[in-house]
Amino acid sequence: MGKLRVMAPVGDRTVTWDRERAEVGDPEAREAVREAERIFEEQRKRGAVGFKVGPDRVAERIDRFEPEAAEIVMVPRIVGG
Amino acid sequence: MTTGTVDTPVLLWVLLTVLFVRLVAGVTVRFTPSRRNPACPATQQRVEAERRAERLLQEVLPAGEYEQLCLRGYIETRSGSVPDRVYRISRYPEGVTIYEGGRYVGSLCAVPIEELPSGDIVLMHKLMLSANEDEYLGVAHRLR
Repeated sequence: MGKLRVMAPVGDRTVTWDRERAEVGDPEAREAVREAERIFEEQRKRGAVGFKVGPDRVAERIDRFEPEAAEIVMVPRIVGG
Repeated sequence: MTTGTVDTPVLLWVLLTVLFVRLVAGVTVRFTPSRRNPACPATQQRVEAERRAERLLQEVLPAGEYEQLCLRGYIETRSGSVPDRVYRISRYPEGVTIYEGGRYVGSLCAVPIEELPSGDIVLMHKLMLSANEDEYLGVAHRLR
């Protein structure tokens, strides 16, 4: 499963999609991928930054949605405190 | 001037002290977090937000780092651009401190534009410093 997690005041909002089914063209899975991509782009427009993450990998910043990613975390825009 | 066997000024001081202590105790009790009603929906929402953030932190941090955070209250990440620099990310209000060659050299202050649970704040610093260091340094205020 692919996961997009968007940090928020009430705790992260999570959207999931079935990567394998999306790859073989399953309509429902592809719709889930499109929704995750829409949310990713919406957050980017608000200044959020996306990172590909995992416990066994170094975090990597991404500027475009990657449906093959296992997990993406979106961090809101930051400002100097 | 005395009242019976007690000086009036002494009596006044005692009375003022008692009133002051009661005033401070009353203010403290009113604003003590433990007085927050756990049944209040806003409190429950906050507790749930903190729980979700903690779970996300556990899932994303590399092996051993979450344990270090629990034991020491901070995690560290090496700078990708400055040799011998380490950022210490604290769970508590200390935020991010900078060490170079093992010596403290300053602090960084950066906050998200919307309020986040404390676990998400730690993860925010970690991800930004690990994989988006230049942008983070361009935004954060450097203290000292």
